Amino acid sequence: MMDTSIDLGKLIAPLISTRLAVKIVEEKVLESGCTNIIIDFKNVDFISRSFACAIVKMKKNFEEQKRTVNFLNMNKDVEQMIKIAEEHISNPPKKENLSIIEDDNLLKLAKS
Amino acid sequence: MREITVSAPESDILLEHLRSFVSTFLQVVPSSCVKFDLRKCNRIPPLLALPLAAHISRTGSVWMEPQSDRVKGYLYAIGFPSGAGMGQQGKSYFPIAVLETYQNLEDFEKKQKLFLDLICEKVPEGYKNPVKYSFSELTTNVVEHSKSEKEYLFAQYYPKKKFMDICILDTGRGIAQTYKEENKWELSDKDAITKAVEGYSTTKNLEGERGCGLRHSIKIVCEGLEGEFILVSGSAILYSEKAEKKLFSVSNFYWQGVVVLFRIPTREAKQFNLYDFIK
Repeated sequence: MMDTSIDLGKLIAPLISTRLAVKIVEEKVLESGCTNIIIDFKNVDFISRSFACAIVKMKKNFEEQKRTVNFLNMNKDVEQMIKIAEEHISNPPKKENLSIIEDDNLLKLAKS
Repeated sequence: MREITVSAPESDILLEHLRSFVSTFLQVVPSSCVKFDLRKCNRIPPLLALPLAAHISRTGSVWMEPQSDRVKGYLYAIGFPSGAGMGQQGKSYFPIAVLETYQNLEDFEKKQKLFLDLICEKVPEGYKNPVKYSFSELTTNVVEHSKSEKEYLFAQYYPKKKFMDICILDTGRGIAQTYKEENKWELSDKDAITKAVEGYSTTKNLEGERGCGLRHSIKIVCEGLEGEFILVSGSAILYSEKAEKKLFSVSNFYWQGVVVLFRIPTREAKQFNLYDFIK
């Protein structure tokens, strides 16, 4: 079994926003052909919830293909975001009916 | 070429900035090449500067410089209209940044990080994560939904007044068109904004996992940080603060794409746990 370690901060950036950034990680994994994958967050300060959801799903997909994926060296914020992503994937947050007042008098309102 | 008189806001009230932006673009047909007359402007805040910069860059429109040397110097410093470098530490403005969304994603992420680092320098420690969260979710929307080739960023810090305005803008397909193309939903601009704010994703098979970014960002900025939030798409405008959310529809006004501006106080008022707002 071959191992590969991906330094996410170096591969992408220390702060990762976009869900699409996961494609870069997936390509790297597939390119390596390895079955044991370490995603190293040591150079990552913060990730968006969107990216967290995408990387958790990537982990699940690879695990279904009999690969192992481990997240390493996550700081507190990254760890928390990954946890929230896992919760949101298994138990999606409810939609909210917001109370929004409709008003067609923007220009007048701003002048007053 | 049609001349458009730009009337600058008279105060720092965010609704005044919104009024200036709307009044200016009420006179502009989307995608038309015009001449913006900035001569009488004695201030050009982000909610005015960034849409002007994007329209000028996109259409080849021109502008008449402000008469005031101070405002003229400010526009030069922020890289108006086509953007400057990624800014310097210690400045109260964060120059206009224009990021290519379809090119190198790593480069896009790195540039966003640089912009955000400068912003976070001015933000109280406890507010850094909420700002990072909102900024990263909102810019993700540009890359993943707008189909805009460019993302425009600009921020201004007001040290004496203790707040910061952060503006993120695209000139893509807009929220209503995104729902139409992705979900086959025919919605007015107003209804599309409502759906987006309520958390309805444009990616149906990923409901739940998606659709929270905008909703959470508004909640964090308005309820958590007690700031203000503006979202513009097409002819609809959402203005949100802690007390209420107002949705406007302005006839003869149209922004092709999405404009987001959020104002955050930089005076730390209370303990803030980001994760309470996104659970």
